Amino acid sequence: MTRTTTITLTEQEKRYLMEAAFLPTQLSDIVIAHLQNSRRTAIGLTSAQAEEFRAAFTERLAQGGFDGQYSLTSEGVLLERLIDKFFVESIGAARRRRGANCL
Amino acid sequence: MRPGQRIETADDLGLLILDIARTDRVERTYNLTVSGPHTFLVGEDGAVVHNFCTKLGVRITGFVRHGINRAIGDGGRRAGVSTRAWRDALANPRSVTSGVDAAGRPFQVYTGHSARVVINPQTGQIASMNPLGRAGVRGP
Repeated sequence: MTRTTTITLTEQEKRYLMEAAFLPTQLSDIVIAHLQNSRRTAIGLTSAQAEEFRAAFTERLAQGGFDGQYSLTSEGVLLERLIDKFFVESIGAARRRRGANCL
Repeated sequence: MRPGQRIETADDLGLLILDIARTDRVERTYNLTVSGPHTFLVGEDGAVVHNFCTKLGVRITGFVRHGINRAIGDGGRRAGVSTRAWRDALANPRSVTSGVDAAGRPFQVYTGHSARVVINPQTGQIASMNPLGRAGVRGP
């Protein structure tokens, strides 16, 4: 069985993903399947799927995420937040660290 | 080089340039070229020195401020990227995409085994980077 991680989005992040025309079809299908219900703001992904999203976010970041001085635009800030949020490996590692602290 | 700039080190902790002083001392100097990744370590702190080019022949000249911030991370929620990971992504990428950004500048995105790096191939500057998996995360 493939393990999935649930990523909780803000309303702004959800809206951005629902309208993100740059996402390839297989990723926008995942977004629609998880987020079309107006109340849902969580998306369950395998680490491979999360990495596909991060690749698409990074490509978009390179295209439109920087201003003339290479500071982040408002879209760039949102994209980097998503890139970090979809870093499934770090989520798992953080949980493991928290678990270890409880021992 | 200038004060405030950071130099990568082998242990990923880095060195910060505090000041630069001129001297009249005469020393023999060498122009070194190292095969492979074109990188070597200098001094007790293991400062990373390079004449470094990407797989596509772009000479890396430095970072934009945002690129440095991404490399270092914030010490908390956002992971930094290990020097080995981003350098390997540039030297041995699994894939490279390219295009022109909204400001009309060229960009390249190098995806390696442990990191993904965005550069401006015209200036050679690194604009952003992210780890791919724990192997790419910068050490403490």
